[in-house]
Amino acid sequence: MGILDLTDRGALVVGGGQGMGRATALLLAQAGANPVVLDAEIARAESVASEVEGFGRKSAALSADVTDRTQVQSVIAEAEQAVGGLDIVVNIVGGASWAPLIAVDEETWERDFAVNLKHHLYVSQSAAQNWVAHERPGALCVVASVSGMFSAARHGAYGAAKAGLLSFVKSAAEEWWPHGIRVNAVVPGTVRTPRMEAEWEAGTTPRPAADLLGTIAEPEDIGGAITFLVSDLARKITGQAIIVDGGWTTRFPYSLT
Amino acid sequence: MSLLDLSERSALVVGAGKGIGRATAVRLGAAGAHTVVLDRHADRAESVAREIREAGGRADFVVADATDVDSLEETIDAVWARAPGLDVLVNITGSATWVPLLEMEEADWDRDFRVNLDQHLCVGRAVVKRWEAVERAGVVCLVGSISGRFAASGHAAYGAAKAGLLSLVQTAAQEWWPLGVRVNAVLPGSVRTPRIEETLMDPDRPIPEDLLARMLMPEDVAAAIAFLASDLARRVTGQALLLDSGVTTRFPYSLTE
Repeated sequence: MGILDLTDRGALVVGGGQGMGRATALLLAQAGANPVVLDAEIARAESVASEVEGFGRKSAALSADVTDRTQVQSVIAEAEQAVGGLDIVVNIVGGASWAPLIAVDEETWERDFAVNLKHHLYVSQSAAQNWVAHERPGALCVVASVSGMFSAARHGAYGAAKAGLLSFVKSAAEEWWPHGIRVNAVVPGTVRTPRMEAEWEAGTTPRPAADLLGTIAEPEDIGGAITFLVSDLARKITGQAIIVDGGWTTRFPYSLT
Repeated sequence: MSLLDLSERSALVVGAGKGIGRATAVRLGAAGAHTVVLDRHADRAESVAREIREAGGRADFVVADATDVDSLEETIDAVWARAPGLDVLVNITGSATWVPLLEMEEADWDRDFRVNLDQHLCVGRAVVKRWEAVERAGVVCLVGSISGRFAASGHAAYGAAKAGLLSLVQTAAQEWWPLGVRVNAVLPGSVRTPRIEETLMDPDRPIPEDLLARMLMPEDVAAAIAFLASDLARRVTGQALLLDSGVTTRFPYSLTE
């Protein structure tokens, strides 16, 4: 198996039905884990679960609205059942509403917080409560965004929620370290996922400018960092956020003649 | 096929004779890389190379002082002869002079800059110039330190040099991205190297249990370097990965219950 070995680890990928979630589920499977796939759409979850089984690993397809706490608790219990215990929980779910701060309405603001921050509380709490109750170590990894580290111009609610997520990761990491639970984030810049490409086409999300090309991540780039972080190779890494963006955000901020 | 596979790669580990360097050379060898062990001490260099081979890996060694600018080209030639082209450069070398700022002499400052910053630049450039000539998209990983991000009390020159190293990593990452070259750093917190182990054994200065549990083994640093060297990190560049069991992200104040 090599040095990145997750043989027989039970995993749950929240938002595993496409894009970064699918890429992560498949990488986890390649590393030997048994990833359960949770998605808002059961058909997508089933498709990825099939692909996982194609790697000879165990999986299950589950569907839930992760902004609903009761559904989260119940689906995590199901996932545990399906693979005989969870060691790894990855949560990819998120998405931005595009609206300027001067006009954004309350409903949009709250929805972006529900979709980008609150469900992380539900999922992480549920997973951690199980681990603590069973005195079992665990690894959590979430997907944040550079929008939570820099300005999130015209998508300010998303940015604030993602910034909140980065804080949550640090606090959870500190509180849960004594229980053997590690919590980290992967921070993408722009990722070429099927959903993003559809949004760019539809014009609902602004397309990145041409000079970003080469730094735009593929879903596997995010999945690769996640897979590393939830493995024993990262057993002393917690409370961290790895930026995966081809170094774009470390550029000198001014154009020079 | 293992996820973190370096069997098509060759790697140079500068300062591989013991501690983090040795653990890194051994880890890269275990991931399949043809590893060139470089150290000032002949017996250590040879021993680590043998250790890699005995574990079924491929290794060579070069005995040289990487801080000696005059012999650097010759040293890199010797490495190239054993691993033509090279793919991965890891530079572990560094050491701190412990002296308060008010007592520090210019020679102390200069020495710490030479060993902890200048040397990384010189070795890096020597390798990357060769990569540019053969259009090799290589990977550089430097070992920095927490002391470059926070106060380096009592070892100010080391801290300033390591901070400089972080800047260099970002600049090099930007300048060399068009060459396909990635540059990152790992920042270890407290590592149980053989040197540190001795101080841990002192019965008059017991280490608190929590601190001990958060200390890294050299293998933990090696694991992060292996990740950064691999294709799992192909869009990670200009980054500094903090390896500290969450110590530096803790709430800064002690709280009463």
